[in-house]
Formats: sequence, C-alpha cells, structure tokens
Amino acid sequence: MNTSLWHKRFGHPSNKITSALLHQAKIPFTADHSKSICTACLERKFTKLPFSYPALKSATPLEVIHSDVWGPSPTVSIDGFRYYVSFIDACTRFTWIFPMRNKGEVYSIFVSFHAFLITQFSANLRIFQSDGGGEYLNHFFKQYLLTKGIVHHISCPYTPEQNGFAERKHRHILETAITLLQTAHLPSKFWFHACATSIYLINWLPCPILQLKYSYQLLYGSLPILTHLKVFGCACFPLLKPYNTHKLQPKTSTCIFLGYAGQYKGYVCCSLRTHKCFVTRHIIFDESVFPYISESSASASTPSPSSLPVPPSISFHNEVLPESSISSSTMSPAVSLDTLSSPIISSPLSGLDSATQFSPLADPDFHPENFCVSLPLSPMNIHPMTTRSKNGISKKKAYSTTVQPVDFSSVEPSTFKITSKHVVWQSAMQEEINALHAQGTWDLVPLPHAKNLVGCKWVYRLKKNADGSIARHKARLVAKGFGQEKGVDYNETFSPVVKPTTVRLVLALAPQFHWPLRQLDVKNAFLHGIL
Amino acid sequence: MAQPPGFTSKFHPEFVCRLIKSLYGLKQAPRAWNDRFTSFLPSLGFQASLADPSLFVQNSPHGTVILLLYVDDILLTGSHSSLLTAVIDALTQEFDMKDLGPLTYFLGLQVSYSSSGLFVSQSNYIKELLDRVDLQNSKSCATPCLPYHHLLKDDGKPYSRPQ
Repeated sequence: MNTSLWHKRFGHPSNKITSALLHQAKIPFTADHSKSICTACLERKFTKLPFSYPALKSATPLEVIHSDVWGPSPTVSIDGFRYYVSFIDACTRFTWIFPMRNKGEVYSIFVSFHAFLITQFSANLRIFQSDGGGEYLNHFFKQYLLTKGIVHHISCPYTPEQNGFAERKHRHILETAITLLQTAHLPSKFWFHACATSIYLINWLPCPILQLKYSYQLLYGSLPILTHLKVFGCACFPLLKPYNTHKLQPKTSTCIFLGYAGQYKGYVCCSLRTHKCFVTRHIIFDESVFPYISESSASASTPSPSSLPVPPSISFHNEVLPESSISSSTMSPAVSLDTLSSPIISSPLSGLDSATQFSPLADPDFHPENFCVSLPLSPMNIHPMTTRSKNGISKKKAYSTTVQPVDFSSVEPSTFKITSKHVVWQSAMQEEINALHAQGTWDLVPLPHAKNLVGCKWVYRLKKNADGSIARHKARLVAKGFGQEKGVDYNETFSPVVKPTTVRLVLALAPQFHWPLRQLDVKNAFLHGIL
Repeated sequence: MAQPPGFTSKFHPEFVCRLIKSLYGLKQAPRAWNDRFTSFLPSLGFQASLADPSLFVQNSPHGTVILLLYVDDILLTGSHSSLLTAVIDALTQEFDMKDLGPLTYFLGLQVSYSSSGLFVSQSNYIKELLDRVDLQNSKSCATPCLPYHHLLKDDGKPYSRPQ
C-alpha cells in the first residue's frame, strides 16, 4: 500500500502527518513519490504561499523606489484631498508623500518627483515597484518609465505582500497620523496635515531595519536637527500683525499648529477664530494646550456659525519671511518639491522687522530651511475661485418622511397608491364613481383605432369645518386634459371674462328698485356638460 | 379616456371610457357646461344680453328677473321675490344647485346691506391678494380717491344696441 492511499484514508492530512502516523503505527507502506500532489487537497485547502524571498532592496540610495496610493480617505481634507501617493527609497527608507484629489494625479506627481530626484540627488532611478493599480499601469506612466529606462516591477493581482514596503509604510504613517489627530483632538478633516507631519517625523526617527540609523542621515549625510519640533495640534500664537486691517486689532490669536511648511521657513497654523491658515516663523507655542478640544466643546454648548466643526472658509496666506540674514549658501540641497505647481504667493512684507517683534523662536540658530524635507505645501487651495466647499455650503442630507408615517386620513394624499390603503378615501372614491355612473358620464367601449387616449387621475380633497375638524373626504376624478389635442379631441374651450360694468349695473339696479339679491351655486357644474 | 385607477372593469380591462358627459380637467369642460346651462335658460324665458353673454334677462308680465352667470356662480335679482323663487326652483330641478341665500360675496365683491342701500367693497379680495404676494404685514398707506360715484339718470350718451 502506498502513502497516497493512506493519505486518502486518513482524510487528507499533510504528507508530514501521514508519514509520521504510518511510522508510529508501524504500518508497512511504500513511499509514493510520483503522486505527491493531491488535487483534492489543493482545491479545498490551498492558501497563499509563504513569502520567504526578501523584498527588493538596494545598496545605493534612490535606485529602487517603492510606491503606493492610499485612499480614498473617508473624510476629505480641508484642502479637498482624498488620496496620497507615497514614494519610498528602498535603501534609506526615506519617504515622500504627496496629496491628491484623485488617483489620476499620480503620473504628473511622479514625473516631477523623478525630476526632483535627478536634480537634487543626481539619483539614478532604476527600479520602480508598485502595485497593479490603474494609476500606475496607464499608457502615460508606462511610456514615461520606458523612455527613462526605469524597470517597472508590479505586484501580482491580489498580492499586496509583494508591495509590502509601501503597504507597511502606509500603516506606519497612518498609525502615527491617527495618534497625532487623537491626542490633539482634531477632526479627521485634518488627516493630510497629520500624515504630512508624521512622515516628516518618521524620516527623522531611527529606523530599526537600518540598525537604528536615520533615513534622513543616510540620504542627506547629516544628522537631523530636532530643536524646532513642536507637538502637533498644540496651541500657537503667530504674529498676525501683517494681516491686520487697522492698528487697534490684536497682534495674534490662538491657532492650532498643523505642521512644518515645506516650501517656507516656518510653521503652518490654522486660526481657530477665522479658520484661516498661516505660514509664519514668528510664532510662540504652548505645547500643553490643545485648543481644538475646548473650541469643539464650546461649540457643542453654544453652536455659532463661527465655531462649527466645518470651517466656513479656509484660505491660506503664505508669508514669505524677510529673512535676509540667511544667505543662499546655507540652503540645503533639499529644496522643496512643488509637485502640484501651486503658485507661490510672494507678499513682500515691508513693515515687518523680525528684530523688533517678539522673540520668534527659542533657538536663535534655528533655520528651518536646513531640514526642509520637501513637504509639499500644495494642500492649500489658493485658487482664487470661490467654490461651495470653500464656503462650507453643502446640501443637507434629506431624511425621508417615511420615518414618521403621515396619517393620510387627516392629510390630503397625492397618489392613488396611498389612498388605496385607506378606507375613508376608498369610500370617497366609490362615492364619486357611483355619482359618475348615475350621471351616465361614460360607457365602456374598445379603444377605437388611432385615437388619442386621455388619461385620468384621482384628486383628493379634505373638506374641513370652520373649527378645523374634518368634515368630508372628497375624491374627484379628473381627466388629464393636457393630453388632448386641439382640433382632434376638442375644438373650442371657454373661459368667461367678467364685465365689471354688468356686475356694477346689476348691483346698482337692485337697491334702486329695492329688489332682493340672491346667490346660487351649481354643484359639480362641469359634470353637467354634455359632450 | 382610460378607466379610472382602482375601478377598472373586471370583464373588459382593456376597454376605455367613451365620455358622454364632461369631466373636470377636459379642455372642453367649461364650454360644455356653459352650453348646457345657457341652452336651458331660454326654456325659463330668459334671454341672453347682446352686450354681455353672461347676463340673462327674463321679462314677463309679472315682472323682470335678471340672472348673472360666472361659470358656476349665479347672481339673481328681480322685481318680485316670488319670481326669484320660481326660477331657483326650476334651476334646482334641472341642476344640482346650492342656494346661498342673500348675496354676500360675488366675484371678489363683498356686499353688505344698509338702510340706504348696498355697500360693495373688496377688502377680502385685497387681503387674499396681499396673502398671495406675502405683503400682509406691510404698513398701509393712504391712497386718496373718490369715495363714491354718483350715477345720474341722464348722464352720458346711451350706447347703441349691439348687433
């Protein structure tokens, strides 16, 4: 007897178990090497094969780039983004993320990102690893990779493990971002600010897989300077004097710290009062206070339009700092990458002298541009066009009235479908039908050839007493006269015009001769007409 | 016409209604009604005025009755109340009528009686109009005009008889 027979007899256990069992039970068997694959087992038990081979690695920075798109986010960010695309250097694990409104932006982002790598790092990108998403497989993307001679590695369908680099990085970014949002009590519409801040920080943290070296150090060759880091979402007070319209306005107001501006030498903060975002270096932090929670709890008690969770308008003011003391030689090679081609608004601030204002930063040597890690500041929608979402206008969700059923015996219904379920309306319709039959309004005939058939419908009216109580349910059958054709279905219609002179004359005659005046009303007048 | 919803014939569901009498909603319904009513009135001795087709006059040795018709609203006056009652009875027999008693409201004209005669006003009509244009809470403004109009027996020129 061979092992495959015993395999079947034991109910398809694995080969290891079968042979162990046969050995222990001392059952003589012949090894069956030819039939080692049991189709029945595969069909029912086949699972993913183990991933033993290492992911694509590289000894040279920026030779292999892993990429993936995250999203759609359940919440649109305040700047209208729903996705981000990540690019991870396989050697240094340095990661860039770029926000997107839709996945189609991946191509243009990658093109400018590649140019950035070439210019800033003289990088020689050879392998690009991504999943098989349509954003990576479209004609433009393929063509670009082909012309640049970059090999595109695509993970197999339904095998995210092959893109594990990027997938694991998503987890790291989002776990950090969610933690940042939660501790700052910020709503999820700030998700991209949190993600951008977390990747900014992650790049500076020692990486376990790199023997606790820094991604930043491996890529830039210098240790990161961490003195300017602040707690995400904490209270901050930027100098807002340049934005004031007159001299008696306060010079600052409470803002929330939303991250480090990539293109600017400063911090991003969002005003609690006006919901405007500012980029500035003249700023003082209170890292123990998270003002958004107090604001949201205050808005819960007294909802006012200005403190609604959704800001009525978000506009960004980009302040270019008059930092003339910093010479261009101190600029690090890591100049920011402006992927989404956001126009840089340069507003030369004439009257702003940083020395005379309050001390800008605790560390006088802080030059944020030295570790500017190419965070795109383009999330700011600074297009001049006013849109509904910028103004916080959104269509309210319409809740169906069927939640609270309407009592159609006391409300005028509009459809036969409703009234056919109510006895009062049914009897009203029966009454009308009886009256019409008594009048001999119609007889039933087959539809004559090529004749226009006029529809009809029920109209329901509630007759009320003077005190508002219901006197009568009235149903009236009306023909859909709009379907009639002039000259075919009818020739002339009639609409009398009052001659006021006649009315006045009659009303004058009556008192003149002391005649009595009587008034009559014809019930269902139109039903008396003969066609 | 299609058979009314909910009252389709069991035996001939494919049949249609051939209308013999008019129905609300039909284009010719007002005309059919007007023809029906005005063709009945001559049998009571009424004659339509040539100047206004909505005015009917019954001249008899017993007196005069004047009937003013606006769709289904009828204003009736005459030299003797017995004559009026006879007309009302005849009309009620032919049509389904509702006697609203002495005139109070006709075509937006409010009529109130006083010892010196009739007072005609349109305050209700004006209120409805203001409601419709949502001006019911607006402030009123005095608009002077002649408070009454004297009708003189020999005023103006008589009109020629219409053909």
